[in-house]
Amino acid sequence: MGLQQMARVLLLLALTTGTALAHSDAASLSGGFMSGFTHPLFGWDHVAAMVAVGLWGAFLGRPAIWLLPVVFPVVMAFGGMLGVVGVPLPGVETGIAASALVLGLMVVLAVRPPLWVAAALVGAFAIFHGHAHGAELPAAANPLVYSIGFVVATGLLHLSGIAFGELSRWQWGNTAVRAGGAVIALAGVGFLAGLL
Amino acid sequence: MMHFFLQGLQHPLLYPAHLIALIGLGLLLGQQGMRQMRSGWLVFLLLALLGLELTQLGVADWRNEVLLLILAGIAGALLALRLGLPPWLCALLAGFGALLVGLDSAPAMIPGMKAMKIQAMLAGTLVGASGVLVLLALTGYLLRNLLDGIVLRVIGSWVLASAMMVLTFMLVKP
Repeated sequence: MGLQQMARVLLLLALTTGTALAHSDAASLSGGFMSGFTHPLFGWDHVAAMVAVGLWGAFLGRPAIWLLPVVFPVVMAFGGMLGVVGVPLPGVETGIAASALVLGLMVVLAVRPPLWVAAALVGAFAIFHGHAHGAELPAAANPLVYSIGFVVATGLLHLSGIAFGELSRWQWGNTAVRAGGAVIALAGVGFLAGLL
Repeated sequence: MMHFFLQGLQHPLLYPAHLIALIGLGLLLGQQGMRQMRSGWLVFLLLALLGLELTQLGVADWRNEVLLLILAGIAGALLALRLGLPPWLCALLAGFGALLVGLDSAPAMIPGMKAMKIQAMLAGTLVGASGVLVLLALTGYLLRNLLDGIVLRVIGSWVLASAMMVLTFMLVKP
């Protein structure tokens, strides 16, 4: 067997073999993390809003590019705390769907409000997202690492939005970013109408 | 003996409160620069050793994890704000974190367990926690100017948010 073939076989084995964990705690930790990490990724309404936050931040430039993705997880955690404690929040799903529509519109219309307005708007929507996650926390495999998982996944979605939004430095990129905002806003309409 | 050392080594990685605090502190020290990193790590090493040895004297168990999460939240907020901190403040935060990590890492007492095995486990925890801190501080040092420091600011907000969530969950559902 040639070296290349052996490398392929080893790669295949590595990809198909499960991890052996000696400690049940460790398995539970990784399971809880993955459960939390994948939670925002499988909810399209969450994904659309998170990417929109990054896109808008990049579109607005500094300091919004870092301020919005910093404000969002912190206020989201506050919303999550409300959810864990059991404080009721009306219209959570509507708020989440509306966040995709409004933030998408901000990008497509190239709205440039004062920084504090942008931060307040993003923060207001973050409460709905956090509350939804927090309310579902207790059912998670390991709730402690679940919460870390979903915070990290949320941040990575913001970073992907920022990376895409950085294209707005160029003329063609600006058009692409605003088109991205349009897609998110349309998805928001779909979420609100219950079509998606 | 090695088994006990390895158990201690992975201890800081298996407890979310410890891990979040180490991530926050390590990246903060790296963000602040080489001087703060060196003094912070030295203070961390000494006070972690003190905390670990204090567990053998039966020091009262306060809610170390809760305090660690509060410290992680402060470190995350400071990371996100990207303020220039004096070395004494970095050393103070690192020392407080080290003491709490040490005090919260008492090995399970099994009747008949030899003192050497306990010490091996404590040594593993010391090496694990301070090693993770150094690695994270170096990572923070390398990332501190990347994209004008945005990456570290964003990670700081994750640390703060994670600490808030974990703390809430611990207090509400103990």
